[in-house]
Amino acid sequence: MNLQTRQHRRSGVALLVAITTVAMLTIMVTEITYIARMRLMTASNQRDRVQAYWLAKSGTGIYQLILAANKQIGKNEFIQQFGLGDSLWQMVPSLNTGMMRMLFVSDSAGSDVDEEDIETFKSEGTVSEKVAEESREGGVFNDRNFLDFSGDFSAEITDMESKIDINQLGSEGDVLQDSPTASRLFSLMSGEDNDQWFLERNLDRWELIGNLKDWIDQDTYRSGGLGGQEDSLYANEDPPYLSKNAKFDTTDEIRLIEGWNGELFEKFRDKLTIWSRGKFNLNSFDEEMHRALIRATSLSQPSDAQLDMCFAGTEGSVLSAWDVASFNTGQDYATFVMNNCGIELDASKITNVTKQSQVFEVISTGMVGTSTVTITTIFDYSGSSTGRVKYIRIE
Amino acid sequence: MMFSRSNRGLTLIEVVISLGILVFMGAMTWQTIAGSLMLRDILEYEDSVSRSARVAMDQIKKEIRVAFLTSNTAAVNTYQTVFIGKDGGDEDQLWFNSMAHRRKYVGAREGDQAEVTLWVEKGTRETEQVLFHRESGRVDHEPEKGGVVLPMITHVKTFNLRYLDGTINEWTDEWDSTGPDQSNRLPRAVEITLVIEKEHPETGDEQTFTFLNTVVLETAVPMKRSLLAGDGGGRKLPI
Repeated sequence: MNLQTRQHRRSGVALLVAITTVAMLTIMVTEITYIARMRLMTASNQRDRVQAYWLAKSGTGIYQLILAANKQIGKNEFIQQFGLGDSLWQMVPSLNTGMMRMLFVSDSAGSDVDEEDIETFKSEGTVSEKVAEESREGGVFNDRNFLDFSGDFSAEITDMESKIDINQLGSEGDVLQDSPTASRLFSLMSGEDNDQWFLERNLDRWELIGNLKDWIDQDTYRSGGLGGQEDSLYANEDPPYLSKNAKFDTTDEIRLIEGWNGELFEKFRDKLTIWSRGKFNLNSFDEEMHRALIRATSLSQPSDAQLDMCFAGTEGSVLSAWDVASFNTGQDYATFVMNNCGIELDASKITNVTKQSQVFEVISTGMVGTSTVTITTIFDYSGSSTGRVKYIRIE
Repeated sequence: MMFSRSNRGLTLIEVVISLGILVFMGAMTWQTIAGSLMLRDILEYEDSVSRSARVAMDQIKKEIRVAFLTSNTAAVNTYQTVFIGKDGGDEDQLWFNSMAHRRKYVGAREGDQAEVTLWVEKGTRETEQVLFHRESGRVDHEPEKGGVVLPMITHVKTFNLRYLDGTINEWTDEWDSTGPDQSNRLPRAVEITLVIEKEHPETGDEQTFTFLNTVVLETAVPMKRSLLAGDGGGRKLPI
């Protein structure tokens, strides 16, 4: 070993001390920076979540305003004469500030929305930063635009009178097949596709509907064809539980019913309600509900092909006859179906028809960054012009 | 004996000076590291207290906000919903039903309803007060039994609840939806006070952190305009 090498070794002590010190300091700084970044991210997410919550609340609030106005307009006799008593909320079935931003930007001079922005909106439901920024700019009359806020919300409204109220099952007699609600529910579950779906899973529709009725009704016997005690269905659960013998308090409670805890509930949940007191607004039915009602009340069971023809639009026309039809009574409905579909209905079975919906579900989602909050609210306007909140869920 | 300059040892003064520099550098480094460690401990301490309190408060708020009472009161032997708050000084208790339940397993026979209980008692270490949370995913006729019990937050000094009676616009320390005064009624709002007392890592002193929140119950009957405005249509607001 030569002299020069030994000299280098001696001076290495200082280098070692320096490296160790720097390494320790680096570790400390890294750890503190990491902790600080984690805190910042947690705080940012918390902030975004709070913003998303209030954006979702905004969507709900706008619909509350629309529904309050709808209620007032509905009282106007002049408007009622034209069958427009319950039309305001139907004119705004959904609200989406992201879509508003894109429309606003595409309308303004010198700006445009490109394909990429549209694809991003379609896939993620949010607009690009460029579109968001442009949509916030003020116009001729104001420095600030009404879309001058970060994040977006989308909201949609449906009335409960366009669904089947399963709470009515408990008060419609002992014979399940004679119950109008059970009959409509069975019709909803009918059709070639549904027949195949139930066959593949070996599920008996009347038993499943009977299980719903047994949860509500006061007796202890099963309503379906198999017979036996209601509570035996839940005796082997962990922990075991009893049939409620009272009405459903939330739609999700259906998951507790034998046979309804899985995909069956997911398949039909959009068509079921517990809030409408058995009323039906035929003017807000969707096609699936129309099909179910026609099947349930027709004098001879229509085939799927007949119903398909009935709902096929007129060639060259944007709106079908269903879109422009307005029904005040069951007889109106039966006459329309007879004229347009050639299917004869028993009008006496189309009961509890209302022209004005009173109970509404508003689903509003607020989005800020990666945070999303969805608020589902049920408003009941039957006893109050401002509406009572019957149900709310925040996710 | 002759030594070359490179092989010569260090003089005492050189050793003393170099040791002095080394000690100085060591002291400076240690001070910096110790300061950083202390800062980290304090950050972790404050972070753990505020984060755990915030998470607990968020959970409590979320559940109380969507508390509900059934209007189907006939089915007492199979299904009962309650909102009962008992005043226990700094250790209040609350039983209620909420629509905030989340199913954890696909196909589980649970809906969105739950029985919830909140109360304070000594934890397993017997040295600190713990806020416990019980949640049962099925509502039955025994609102105080069943479900899963989990600790929410430790070192609880105070867990105090007050309830706003929407019909008279007054805050009360207790609530009982099964009693005659508040029969099957929800309070319009609940005020939650949570005080955490924890030893400071640097000073060793007990330090208290207070978290206060008011939650409006969404399904409770809204307060009358006359009560809010005091316009003579109802009972006046207290001055």
